[in-house]
Amino acid sequence: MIVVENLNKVFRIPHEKKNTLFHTFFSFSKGAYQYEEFHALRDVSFRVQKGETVGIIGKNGSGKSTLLKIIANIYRPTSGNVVVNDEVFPLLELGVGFQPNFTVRDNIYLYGSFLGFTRREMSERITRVLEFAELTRFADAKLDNLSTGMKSRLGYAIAIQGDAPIHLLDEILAVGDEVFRQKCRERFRSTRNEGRTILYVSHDLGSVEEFCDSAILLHHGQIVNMGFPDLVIQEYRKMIAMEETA
Amino acid sequence: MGTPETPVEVRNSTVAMVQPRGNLSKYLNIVRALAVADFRLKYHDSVLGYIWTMLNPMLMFGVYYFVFTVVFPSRIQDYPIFLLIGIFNFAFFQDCTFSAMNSIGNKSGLMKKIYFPRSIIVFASSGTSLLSYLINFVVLLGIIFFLKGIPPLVWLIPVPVICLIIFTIGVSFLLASLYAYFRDMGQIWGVFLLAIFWLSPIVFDVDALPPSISQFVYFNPLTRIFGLFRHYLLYNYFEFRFMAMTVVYSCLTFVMGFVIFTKNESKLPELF
Repeated sequence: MIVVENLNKVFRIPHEKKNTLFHTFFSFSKGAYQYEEFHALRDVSFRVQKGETVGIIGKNGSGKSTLLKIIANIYRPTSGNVVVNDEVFPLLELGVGFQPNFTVRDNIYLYGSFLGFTRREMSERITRVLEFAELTRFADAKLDNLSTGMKSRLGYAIAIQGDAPIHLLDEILAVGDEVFRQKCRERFRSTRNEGRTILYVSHDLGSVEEFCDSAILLHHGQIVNMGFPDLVIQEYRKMIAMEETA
Repeated sequence: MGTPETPVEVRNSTVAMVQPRGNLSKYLNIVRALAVADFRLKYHDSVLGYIWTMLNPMLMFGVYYFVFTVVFPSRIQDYPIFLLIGIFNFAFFQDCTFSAMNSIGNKSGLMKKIYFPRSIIVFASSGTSLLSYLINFVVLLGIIFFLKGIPPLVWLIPVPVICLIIFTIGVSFLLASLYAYFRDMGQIWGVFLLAIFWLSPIVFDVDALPPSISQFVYFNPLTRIFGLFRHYLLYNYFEFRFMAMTVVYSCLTFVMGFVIFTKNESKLPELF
């Protein structure tokens, strides 16, 4: 279960970038530290029950990823409470920490360790990972020599080995060609049916409607609508249409 | 932004998380994977790559040896070994603090996407430096055994080695915290390292100085650590108080660095 109460996140964006000692030291005379406040999230509250799949939609910059990062314990909230009562598996980007100079096999072990797998656990899974990514033939090739699509397929194939009860997914179904996407959708469906709790950020409204039990629409960091996916998506489409005519 | 700006009252915020099972072993596993990966990247999986890193302390040794035997002859006994001990151990201090500081910047992408205790980054980077230090240290012991035979107190050598490692990692934590706020720490630390090199008894003997000056040099924990190395490898001398003080200083530095780092740790991903 995930409980989010009155969550606010304010980023301070300084007018002038002062991240050196030299600057800090020599700009005292110029008066107070000036910055712009950016409210990435305003008073966001919601609850996700165990086993529910919730989609989060909204335009770029509406706070979707910030929300996931706070739930994943990467960013700190400015105020508000977050309670997560089970182990979280955050998947915010595919292929984080990949080493281009290492072989595909070494990268699988490395990435696996970030996901919390020991070498032995990864050895048991490596054939499955390679098969899913359709890269069995290239297991000992340098990652650098793979195409972009291959790399994201590999990232996805390793990432889905994560078996925590709560998944936070940021835009990860948009990988590879149509065949691979189909495979990803099937995998998503089975993850869902295993009774996991999933928070899913996406611009792919079709998949939100298909997979999610409910949806949340964020706009300028506020929840403007929450409920059945089809209704929330309708509201989102209306919002976009209105902005286009305005 | 389009919506009116309403001031947000900053209350105490809480994030209650369930820590993953098998916590410590999971994190140690990340430390190992990162350290080994960095070690391999650094040396390109080759023995020759490793020899290159030996070259730096060896070259420094050559230069200082020339200066202090020919230009300003030193009266220290067994000067080559005296100098080697200082240079090899200082090389670890320099390498470890520098790379730990930079690793915070290099791993910021990882930090923004995955949650793990951020101290893992510093531990992993120190682990990489430690791997090459330990290999270098075996070479150093080999040279000493060859030139002087096996020193009777050599079994005590783990004490200064561990003190040096703990002290260095403590300093690395301090620097990593500072680097998050000040990106020019790299340049600043470069200058400091030069000063520390000359203010630590690497090329000179602190006990040959007048006491009014040497008491200040002893404020530097490296003075004590290098002292212990020379006591056990060169002078066959043991003093419990001196050893205990060194251990205490090293541990204090580590605790201080670690606490400062962990206090700032949750802010790190937003600073990059």
